[in-house]
Amino acid sequence: MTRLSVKELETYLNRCVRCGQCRSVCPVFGVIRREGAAPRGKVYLAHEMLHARIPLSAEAEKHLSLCLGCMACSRECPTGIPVHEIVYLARSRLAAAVPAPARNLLYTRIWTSPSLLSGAVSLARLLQAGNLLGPRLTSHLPRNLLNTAALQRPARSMLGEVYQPPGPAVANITYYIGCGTNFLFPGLARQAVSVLTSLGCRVKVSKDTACCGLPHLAAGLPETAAGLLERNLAALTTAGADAVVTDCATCYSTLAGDAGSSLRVLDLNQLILSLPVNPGRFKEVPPRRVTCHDPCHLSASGGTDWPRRLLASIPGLTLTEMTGSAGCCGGGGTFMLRHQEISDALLKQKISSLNATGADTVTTCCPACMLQLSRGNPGLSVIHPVQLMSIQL
Amino acid sequence: MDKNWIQDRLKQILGPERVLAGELNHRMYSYDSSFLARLNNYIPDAVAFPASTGQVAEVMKFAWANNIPVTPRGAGTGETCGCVAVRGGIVLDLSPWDKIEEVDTANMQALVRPGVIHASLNEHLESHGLFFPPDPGSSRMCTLGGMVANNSSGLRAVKYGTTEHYVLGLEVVLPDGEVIITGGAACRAIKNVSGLNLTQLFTGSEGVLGVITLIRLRLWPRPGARGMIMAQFRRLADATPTVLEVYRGGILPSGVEILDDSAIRAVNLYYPEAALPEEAEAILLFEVDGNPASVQWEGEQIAAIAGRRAIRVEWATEKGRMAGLWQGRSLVAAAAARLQPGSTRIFAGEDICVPLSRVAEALEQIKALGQRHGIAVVNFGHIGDGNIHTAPVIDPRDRDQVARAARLVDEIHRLAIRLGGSTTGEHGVGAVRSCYAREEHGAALDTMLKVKRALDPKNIMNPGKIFPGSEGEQV
Repeated sequence: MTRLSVKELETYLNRCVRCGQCRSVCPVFGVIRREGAAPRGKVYLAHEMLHARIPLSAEAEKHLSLCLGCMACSRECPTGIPVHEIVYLARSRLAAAVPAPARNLLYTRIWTSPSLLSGAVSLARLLQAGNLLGPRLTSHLPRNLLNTAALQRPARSMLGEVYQPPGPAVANITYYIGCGTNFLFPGLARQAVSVLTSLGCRVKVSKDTACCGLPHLAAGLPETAAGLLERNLAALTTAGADAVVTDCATCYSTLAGDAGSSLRVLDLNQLILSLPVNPGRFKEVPPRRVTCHDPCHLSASGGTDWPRRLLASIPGLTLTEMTGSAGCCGGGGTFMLRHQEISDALLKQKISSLNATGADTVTTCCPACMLQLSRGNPGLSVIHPVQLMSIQL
Repeated sequence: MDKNWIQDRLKQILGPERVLAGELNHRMYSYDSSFLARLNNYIPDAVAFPASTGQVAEVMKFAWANNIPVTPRGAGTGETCGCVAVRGGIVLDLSPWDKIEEVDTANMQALVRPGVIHASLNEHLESHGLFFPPDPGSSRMCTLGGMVANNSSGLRAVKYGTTEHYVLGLEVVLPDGEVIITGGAACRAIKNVSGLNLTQLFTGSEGVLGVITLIRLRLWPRPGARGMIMAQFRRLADATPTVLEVYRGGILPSGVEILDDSAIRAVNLYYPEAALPEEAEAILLFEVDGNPASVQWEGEQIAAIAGRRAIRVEWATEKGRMAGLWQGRSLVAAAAARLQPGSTRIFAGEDICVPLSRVAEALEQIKALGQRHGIAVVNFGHIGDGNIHTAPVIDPRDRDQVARAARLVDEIHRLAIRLGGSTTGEHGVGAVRSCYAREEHGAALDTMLKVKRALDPKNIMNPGKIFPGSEGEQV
């Protein structure tokens, strides 16, 4: 989680020659087609804000909210400008200047405390399950909040502390469960634990960790994000395992990016690939045609090969690549709630590429992508690759 | 004129969704890649997104009736301030209008709207075995409307020529809103010498004569094979004779690029793994294309000719190795800023074109000018046609450096004219090079002004471009 200083920011902003190469890759610009939505436009805006030529206004905030944080522009920029970090920093200046008490309460008080967040989600779950909000209240909520997967009983409260492998342990693993898996896909956590133990891992479920902090960084709260990261890394280091594993590409990139030499953070696919697997241990799965969606954070971490290698090791699967597998699905955390139409347009593009493959299953390594893709085509099974492995057990 | 009134009227003409809203949004149309746009704040009064010839015509009629300047804009990737409304008024962002209307394979041509991205057209043509040969470095983002308006090209111009060689006809909305089709109203012929050549008048006219709304492009068969030859020279003076000897050997490569020692140093600072030889004063890169047998023969011939003077020559037809040889050239634009930490490359004085026989002389003199003004410069470009891209590297916050860079680029432009060349080979004039028009064109500028006055007597089409300030005002 790099945090730019103002001096670094200025150097980067000066380096932008406005060549416009970022226009060719930005998903949001691809939908809106207005220069203000191009990464170049956001860098320009940040530059003008820094020099106080543009006020820190609600209009500027709205502009800078039009970024998914997919990093496609940062990877594309010929002069190496980390555009997404500039957007995050600009958002932090706006967050300090444009008051948003409700949002601040959510991000700094609730989303930083595992117990308060869990409580809040439980309440929301009851309201959602009992349909207790009523049409008048729900009409005020974002449509995409209502048509996504149902909140679940948190994985962290359902799982035990430690799981032992059937035989001698080949590795001692701490399982970091991020917010998405915890509240939306607890089944994934259960399946991950059974696959890992069956492969000989002793799995300790991390219960004293909080959100990885990326949502806070993206929301313009870098101090809160840094606090969470520091706390999580300290807790995970104290746990003293051989490695920390996460099923979420975003949590992975956040934790692995800042973990020191004493802490080894691995993506779940990456960990499984490193374990000795007895080929006879797994059953063949019924024939399935699978395609792979690459989460932005996995692409940025250079890990798109990991799920593919894992899938290749599972007999019975046919992997068909889709066009633009690394193209953003339009989820982008809270982006899908704030900018529903853009998010829906990107999802539509993604689903059409998915459908063109004829696949019945799409795998992805990010619960946020799973959430987004699940609402795109009800006939499609959207799962993490490890869930296909668990079928073999 | 009140910008709210202009915006309201445009909304009535085009519908609210085709007119830009929000104060802040308009600022994003104040720039292109030019340093001039960066130093100024050319915020337009209104930005419109027409998506039909009729809509463009209606906007022009409105602008004509009310004397409002109109600046057509593509992707805004130009380096001349050409698509920036330096006199205010309306910017027409044509980039979202990106329909490929037709690929007429039988007649080897395509009909495209101005917003089609260059790379998208060529991707689309791949399955037809055809291509549109000009290849600007900005292929993935620039629009064909912008390419035609600036008559742009790229490294393959040495063999395939520039955009003008492929424009068969245009649909143009004139400043008063009248719509004409050049190159024959219903013509699908490849050759046509009937009438005055209006197609070529509008090609490269940089939006000062009208708005291009449809382009009929000539397509070529896609070559099946490619080869790359890299040659390193201890002395810069050995590079140009090598290029001339290749031509005399009966070979026309599809590209001939040069990196001088400043470019070599910048690439090595940016990406040490490239490990370009620092003892070399120049690296030449030749690209050949055609059928596999001719590529093989031409590659061997060029390697042998280059070998007479070069300290190292390598050539390849395998994709991965070709990319390896090309690496230095692909990195140089981004690498330029590394010559001076905390600084950036600026787009100014970056596009002169000199006679082939004087390329080495031009490079030496640009280097000397850089030293005299205390400005770091990186030189690279299309040596095959004498087109040199100079990248001055400065700290844009430092006023003294900005002033010295301005003097440097002025001298680079005058050097080009003195050497019998042009101030711009492929980027265009825009607002940044108009001051050299009289010196470059002499009395021909008066004829250009007559054409401008005849078509745009109110001077509403992209004012402040091509023609020097005082003379442009008299339009």
